[in-house]
Amino acid sequence: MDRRFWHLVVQFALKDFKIRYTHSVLGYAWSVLHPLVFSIVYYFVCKTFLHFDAANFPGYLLLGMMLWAFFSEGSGNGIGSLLARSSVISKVPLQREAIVYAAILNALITLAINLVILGVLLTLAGERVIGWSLATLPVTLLELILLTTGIALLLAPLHVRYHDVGYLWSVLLQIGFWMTPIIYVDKTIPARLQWMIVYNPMTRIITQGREAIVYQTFSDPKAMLHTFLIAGTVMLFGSWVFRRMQPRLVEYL
Amino acid sequence: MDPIEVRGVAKTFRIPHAPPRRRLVDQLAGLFRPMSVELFAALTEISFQVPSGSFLGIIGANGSGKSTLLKIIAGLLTPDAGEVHVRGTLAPLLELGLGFHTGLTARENVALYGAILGFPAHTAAERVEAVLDFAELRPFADTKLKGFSTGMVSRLGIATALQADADILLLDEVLAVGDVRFQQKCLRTFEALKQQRKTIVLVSHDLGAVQRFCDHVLWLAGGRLVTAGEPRAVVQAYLDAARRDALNEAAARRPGAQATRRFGDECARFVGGMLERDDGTPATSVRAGSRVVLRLTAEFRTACAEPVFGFGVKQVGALGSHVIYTINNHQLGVSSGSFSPGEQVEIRIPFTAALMNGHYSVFAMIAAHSNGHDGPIFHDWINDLVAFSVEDSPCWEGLADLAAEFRCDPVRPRPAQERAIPAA
Repeated sequence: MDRRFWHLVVQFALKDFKIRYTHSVLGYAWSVLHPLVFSIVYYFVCKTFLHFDAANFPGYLLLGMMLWAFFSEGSGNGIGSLLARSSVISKVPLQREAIVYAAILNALITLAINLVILGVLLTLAGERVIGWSLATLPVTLLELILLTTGIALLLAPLHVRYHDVGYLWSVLLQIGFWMTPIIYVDKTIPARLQWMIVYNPMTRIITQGREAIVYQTFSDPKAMLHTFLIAGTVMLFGSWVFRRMQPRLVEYL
Repeated sequence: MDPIEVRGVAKTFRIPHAPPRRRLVDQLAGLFRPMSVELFAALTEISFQVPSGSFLGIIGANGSGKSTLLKIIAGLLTPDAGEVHVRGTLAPLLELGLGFHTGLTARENVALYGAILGFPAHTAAERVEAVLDFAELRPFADTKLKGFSTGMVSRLGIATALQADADILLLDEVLAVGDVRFQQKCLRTFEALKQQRKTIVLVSHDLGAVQRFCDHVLWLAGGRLVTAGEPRAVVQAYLDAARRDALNEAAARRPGAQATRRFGDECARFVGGMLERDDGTPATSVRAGSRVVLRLTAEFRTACAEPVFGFGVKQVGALGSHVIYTINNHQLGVSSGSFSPGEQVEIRIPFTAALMNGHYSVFAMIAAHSNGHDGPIFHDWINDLVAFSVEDSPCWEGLADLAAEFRCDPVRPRPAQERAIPAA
């Protein structure tokens, strides 16, 4: 993992980011406009029609949506990334993790833009955003990145062999979205179904994120450590599988 | 230590029979059925070394394993057997302009392609500029690639590749790029790389380029190393073999192509023709040395006096067909008679199939009686009128079965001084 490797990751991610908005008049403005409009629509739907509510509901909802969007986009694009760059993989020997990492980095750029938009919106709404609790945010984000990258590394080579993996994952993402308290509040879930929220690492990550940004409280360090161990294990396992499968990758393309 | 060392490398691809079991469901169902795969030996027992600073060429027909070998050296494929040692940094240029996107500018594309080829991060920016200069595309550095001509894109690709600055370059058919002047520039760069003791492996169908640049050439056929050595000799051997193959192919096509060939002025035509055995059954396969009868029926449209009836036998082999016997009634001193329009005639020609085992075809013709001054006037000529095969000849080689007989009689001992063979 030398500088050359990270240079390659950045170049791949930059390319994807740049070509996403080619042929559009507004260009990069879309990367801000899109989440902004999206957030506002979701806020009004949930608040006005569904009557979901929580303390500081806009912050609660939007942060959950944004962290989930990163997880969904990063894992989905990461899984498909090897096939999308099949010509590069079959013609140049490079560290193929770079391609998956680039997909994650690209999703991270989107998340960063989204978080800035969220900060501006909350400040405009009169909420306090800057505080000491933000210090735990990097740890939470690292956990999110490790979890997402681990899943992408695990499933990307499998997806090259069996295209079903990609479809299966998009179904699981749909189920996961509703099994995670993103647009609803976890207290509203009946006790016998609480387990599926508690054992869901995305619930832990989103909750920690909300504590850091929206509620300005410090998360329980023990809970954070647990989350970190889960995410780290997924990452290690994903890397191991990726390394095992990658020598034969070209033959499966 | 040589930069590239290949020892006993073999690679077999498993090609599943259709339908490919790519989907999980098929795969699960397939667990209960034996997997039907075809094994394709792409490479068998390949060994060679490339010394430092040498320019190796790899030639061979399509599908001979050249690209597979290059991919194994590049580390893209893992060999099933054998070892590959590569010492030094590697720039595999199996395809130019990988990752190029028409929506990005020339500079952005070069930056990405450079990263793919492993430009060191700290000099990447300078190299991108060097590429733009070499490709002579500086005025278009910030133009999106979609406005570029194919030639411009290729130039950008090879210019980036040549900046890769690796110890070993693997090239797959990437020499012919751009106009003549730009090609010359690239070739000068190759010369310069050679001077810098870089090792280059080139896979190419351009035998001229191979002879011009390479110090050493490998010739692959069917995944095996046919021969390796000095470029001129290997290329010559390869060309000779290719020419032989082409001849064989043409010969194999010939009998079929001639089957429909029939010509003549139609004053008389064959309306029937068959080959029979002695007992009157049709002869498609006959025993060597047996008697057969060719029966022809002809019909006259105009009055003909003493027409010439002839036939011949051709041997049909892998190297084409050749005539081994022809005869006509005049040569045998047989009169054919005179015919008026509408009249039919049956011609019976018994002959001995004194032939080697093999395939034969019969052609037949009717010609006007020649006055000796003009060339022959053919009323009808049919090639491949009937085909037959000959079997049961004891001979192994030759054209005809001359029905030889052997008698071995013991020789009575004679006095010693009469021996014909002097002692050496």
